[in-house]
Amino acid sequence: MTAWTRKLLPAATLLAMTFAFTLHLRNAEAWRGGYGGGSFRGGVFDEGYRGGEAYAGPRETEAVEGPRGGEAMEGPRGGEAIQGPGGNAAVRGPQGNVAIGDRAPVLPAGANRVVISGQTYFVYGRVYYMPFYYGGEITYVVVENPHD
Amino acid sequence: MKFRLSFLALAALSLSIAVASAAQAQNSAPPDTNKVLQGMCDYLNSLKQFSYQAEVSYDAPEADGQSVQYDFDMVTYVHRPDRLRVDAKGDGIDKQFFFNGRTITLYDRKAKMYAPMDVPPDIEGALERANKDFALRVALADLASPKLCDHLAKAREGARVLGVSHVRGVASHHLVLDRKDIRVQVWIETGAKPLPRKVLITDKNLPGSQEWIAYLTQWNIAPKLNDPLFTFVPPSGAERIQFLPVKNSTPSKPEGSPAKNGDKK
Repeated sequence: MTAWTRKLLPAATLLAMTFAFTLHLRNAEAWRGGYGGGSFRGGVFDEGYRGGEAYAGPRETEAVEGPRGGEAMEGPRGGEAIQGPGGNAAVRGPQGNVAIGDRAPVLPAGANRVVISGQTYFVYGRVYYMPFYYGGEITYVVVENPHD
Repeated sequence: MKFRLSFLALAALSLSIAVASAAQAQNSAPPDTNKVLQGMCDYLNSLKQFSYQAEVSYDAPEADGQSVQYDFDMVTYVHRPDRLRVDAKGDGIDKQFFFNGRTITLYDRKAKMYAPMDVPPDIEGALERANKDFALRVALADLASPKLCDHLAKAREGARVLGVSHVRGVASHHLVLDRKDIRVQVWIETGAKPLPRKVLITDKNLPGSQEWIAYLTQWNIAPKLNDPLFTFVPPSGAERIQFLPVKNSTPSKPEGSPAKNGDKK
């Protein structure tokens, strides 16, 4: 094995592992089990709801509480910096950067429910979430601070 | 005379054996796949009302590449042409779906949140709008659609009948329908009531061949279904939210919320 091979092998292995894991996550998102799983309508198990968007279902591999409540609940994407669907400016959140428009299948532990002008929000730190149905699942979307 | 009687008896025996063999050969010939499928669709379409229960299990992939299996039970009520209700309860699921001819309402009993959507006044139109505009699909709800066979035929690359199997004691044709991405297996009751008895969907793209399985039981082809069954009445404390439309996943500021200072719009 040459010196160059020895140097490149760990990087190549890491790259391959990253690719494989990313592929697995994408596939995991593509699989739609549960309530919407047994539909014969177009795209029964198509590429997520809208093709490759970063949507984590209720039992996906991201930090989501399991159906029986046995898994650790963690904030949306564990504080990972992500970009919203429309490339919106990031908002500094309590667990990292979240952006207006980001969707999370669960709320950060400790988020509080508040009602402002008749609309329910969940607030954690300075980040406001609004509940929606996205497909058949409730999802929490990061919205602008209604007080701003 | 004796010889003639023996000859006749032998001839009759040969004839009966030949007839029986022909009948057996005819019985063992696999039925036409499309005819079996169409028979199920036509029979379901002929029912003005029906209800059934389903026991569902499905695989959920985990990060390590392995799967775990979850379960839930469903009860479905259909009143053609414009009423549908699906209740589902089990692992992580406690939902009710209502369609009353004007509105679809989805209610999550655990979260106590519901959302309505205006839809066309028929089951197929309502399900199609829910799917296209809001990505809402409900397990096995397509059995209530008059276009069920069209949906089953979409992108189909192959179909065959494997033979007659028994699903929980009910003799059923075992059909395999292949698409590029999934394989759908359907077990359809033999005889005069070709009802679906089992549905198995396998994802071909995922490692481990993730499966979604439903056993359909307690079929009632003449239930008494009243209108209130299909209309959602918000329970005390239930909160109304909205469906996020497929074409615009970033919600605008909700109606009635305070205006943002300095908002130019």
